[in-house]
Amino acid sequence: MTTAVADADILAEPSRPLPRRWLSRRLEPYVFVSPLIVLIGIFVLAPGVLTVALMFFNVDILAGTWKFTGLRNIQQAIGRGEIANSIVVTIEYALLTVPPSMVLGLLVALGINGLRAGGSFWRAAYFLPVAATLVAMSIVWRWMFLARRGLVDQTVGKWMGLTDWLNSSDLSLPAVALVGNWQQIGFVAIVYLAGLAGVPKHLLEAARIDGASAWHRFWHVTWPALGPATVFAAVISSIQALRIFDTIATMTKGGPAASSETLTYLLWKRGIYYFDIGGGAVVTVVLLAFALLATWIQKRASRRLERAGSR
Amino acid sequence: MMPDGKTTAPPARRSAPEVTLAGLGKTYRGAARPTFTDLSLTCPAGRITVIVGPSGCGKTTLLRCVCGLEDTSAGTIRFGERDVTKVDAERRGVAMVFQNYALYPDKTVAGNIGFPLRMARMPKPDIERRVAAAARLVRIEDYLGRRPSELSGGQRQRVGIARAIVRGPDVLMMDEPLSNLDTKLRAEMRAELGALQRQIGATTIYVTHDQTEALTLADHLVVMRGGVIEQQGSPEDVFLAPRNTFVADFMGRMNLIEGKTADGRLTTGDGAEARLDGYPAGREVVLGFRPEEVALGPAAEGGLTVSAPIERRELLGTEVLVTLRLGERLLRVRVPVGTPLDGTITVSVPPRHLHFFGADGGRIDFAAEALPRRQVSSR
Repeated sequence: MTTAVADADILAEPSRPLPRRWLSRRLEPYVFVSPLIVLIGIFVLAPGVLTVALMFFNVDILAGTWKFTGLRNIQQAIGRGEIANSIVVTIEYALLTVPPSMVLGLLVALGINGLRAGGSFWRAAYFLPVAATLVAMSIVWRWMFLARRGLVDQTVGKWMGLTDWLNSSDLSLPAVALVGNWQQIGFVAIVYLAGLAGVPKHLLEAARIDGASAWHRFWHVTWPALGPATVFAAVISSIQALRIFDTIATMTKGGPAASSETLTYLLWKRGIYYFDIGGGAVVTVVLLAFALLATWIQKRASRRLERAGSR
Repeated sequence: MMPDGKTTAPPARRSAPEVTLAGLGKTYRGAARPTFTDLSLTCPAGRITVIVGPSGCGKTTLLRCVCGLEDTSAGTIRFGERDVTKVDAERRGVAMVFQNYALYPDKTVAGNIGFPLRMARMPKPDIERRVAAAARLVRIEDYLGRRPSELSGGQRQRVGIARAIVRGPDVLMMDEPLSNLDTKLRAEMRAELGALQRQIGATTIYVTHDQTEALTLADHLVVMRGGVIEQQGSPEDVFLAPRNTFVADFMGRMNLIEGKTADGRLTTGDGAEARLDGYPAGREVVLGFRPEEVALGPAAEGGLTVSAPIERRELLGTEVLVTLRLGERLLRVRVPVGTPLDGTITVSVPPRHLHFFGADGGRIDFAAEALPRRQVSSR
């Protein structure tokens, strides 16, 4: 009894925080956000502004000279036609990787989620490509796609007549996209597995009692609940598709005849290989425009999807 | 507290089946002990069977077995003549109301209510007719276009109930349907549920831990503890003649005093004493009485008289719940407001309100033993 009274006395002591000075109260938020503001300025804003500026200059890095050339870089880039080609190739690559890896990743996730045992093994197995170094893996894939002696030509090539993928202007991009899928499926599967863990179990049970078959339970309960996971996986996959570089540099070098030359690869070729800084800046701005467009589309689409369907 | 209105129940309207559980056993995968074994129970056709018990007594698992969400380890479940033990929940045709409503968040109220019909491939006009009827029965017809997130808890549960009754189910399950509602709403919905069930006429199994719900709604009351049925019968029987100390305590929180009878006295293990007239001496018993069945002052003719210091008092409204200290045990009694409550109070319980249990907790008919000996013991 005595300790209880003592404890009550402790709680009866005033517990209001000490008053603070006006200036420190006003400054505090800025102090907290300043590191991030500085970092964003150095690594995002400044390079962005610089890139846009570089479009209008002819820069010689070795000589250290900048010459204002107006719109000539842009005119040249359009004249060469390579940007138009790369835009098409990039869109093709995105279409070849994002939808298939989303569908297959969801199927893999549903499969793993339905397992009674061994789930963690399959999760790790499918996630391994995501964690692996893509350049090293691309070398392995290049070896598998090797003409005549490679695994692909020995099997698919013999059965379907599709040989020497990396040197075919029709098959080089699909070959790279295959590797992209191989890697992306694991990522999508992990995202969907996390989403599936959040599907309310009592809703699935209610649907079962209401007479819904496995397919209807998926369509009416699971899929709507996966809305946020779908948006997230789609956003990340699309960004990955826009950024694709390692596999192309290792497997095809953009060829043959620029048939797998995506915007990122063209950017590297212009800016680094040819040392055409201004031309590279033009490609970068196009890529930036694409990224912004993709973000805008996804923001609009996600508003509908994240509300979790209205079927 | 006392159940009422049960006698006015009309006969079951439709041919709802009797639900029979025979020798039912359930052991969860990896569990050390079975949740229940060899459990047998008959739920009368077209009536409400309430299964009541403390948390973890297996009542929800039992319900999940009956509706097919859990498979059983042993025994059979029959709806009338039909053996449904191995029938999947999807095809068992049972309807269920969930504690947390379990509404589909992306569907409208109409979509939620109509979902079971849609799954049964009923033509659209029929669905609309039935959805409207079910919505009217639970008085939710003005909200058909809304989504669950735009409804209050009580409205959500009305939707849950409408979804359950829309198929005109023969067997209806309710898993603590009112537990997430506030007190006032719970009382309203309880009355409505009872009336609704009598209109529908489905054989209903209702699980709850709330003894008021159990007594007011039940046609057949089942008290469970630790996977075992402690008592079943009409709510009146269970309440008026609890079969053991657990049921006595759980249904109506009976005061229980363990002790030994002596000449005109009951002596407890810790040395406290109460007057007890008219019962045989020298017996180890557990004496029980309900807080609301005491009278002020000493007993006039037989029965129990307790004089004890007041430990605590709580105003209930027209009555005061007084906690007395008898030895080391606390007794609760209800006395009218205005009773002088200082220091010590003397209360008594007439013989007809005294319950006796043996050392094993089972009910004994102590009064019958007492009658022939009364002459002797009272000198």
